[in-house]
Amino acid sequence: MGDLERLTAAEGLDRLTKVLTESFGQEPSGAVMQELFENVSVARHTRTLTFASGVGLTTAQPPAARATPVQNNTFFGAP
Amino acid sequence: MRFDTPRPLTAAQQYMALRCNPSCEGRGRLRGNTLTWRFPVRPTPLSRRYSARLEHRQGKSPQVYIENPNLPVLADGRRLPHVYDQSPTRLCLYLPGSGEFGAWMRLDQTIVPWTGLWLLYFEGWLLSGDWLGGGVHPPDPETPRRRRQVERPRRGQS
Repeated sequence: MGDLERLTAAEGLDRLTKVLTESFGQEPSGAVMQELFENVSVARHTRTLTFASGVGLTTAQPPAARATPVQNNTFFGAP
Repeated sequence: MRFDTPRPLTAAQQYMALRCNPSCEGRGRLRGNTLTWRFPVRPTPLSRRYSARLEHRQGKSPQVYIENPNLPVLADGRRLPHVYDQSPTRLCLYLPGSGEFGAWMRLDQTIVPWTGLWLLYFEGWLLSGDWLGGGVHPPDPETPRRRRQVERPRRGQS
């Protein structure tokens, strides 16, 4: 299966990153994920993260009309 | 009469809010003071499609379970972080007693978006073994006097 087919078949950020790593190496795939989580972290901090069914979490500004702002929260429980 | 304490929302009010919020697509049922809401969650367009179930009884803490896919199977033997139960997987979405969630707050504006956020960090954890969403860890039961361990959200993987 070609790289592109494997990429489109991968579901989940973890599996997608593994395919990217196999195809392009650790550095670029790691950078992509790092940027994604950094953007979410900043958006949580600045309260600009939104959530919408079918779209998921977005940091786009202005947010989509259907999106719900994500309130501050603290995950609880054993790490 | 006191005006400073918000009134708790009834299960019927919560149910109507879930039904009317276009960002909380799902199906549910209301029976007396208990509601069940099943909703699909995809944290990002590159993520898996998850099926979640929210159960809420008026006056009690809401409970969120991931019905599909099976998270312990995806975790491949590792213990899931930030859950009350491994299987069925019940998520720990907020810090009890912190005021982050209260009976006067809407489930569609708190619990549902937090479920998406939890699942995003879960996929990051599957990849790296690191939980990047921060959180508070309850004290180890063997050392009950130890303080809660607080971990702030991290910006990306190390």
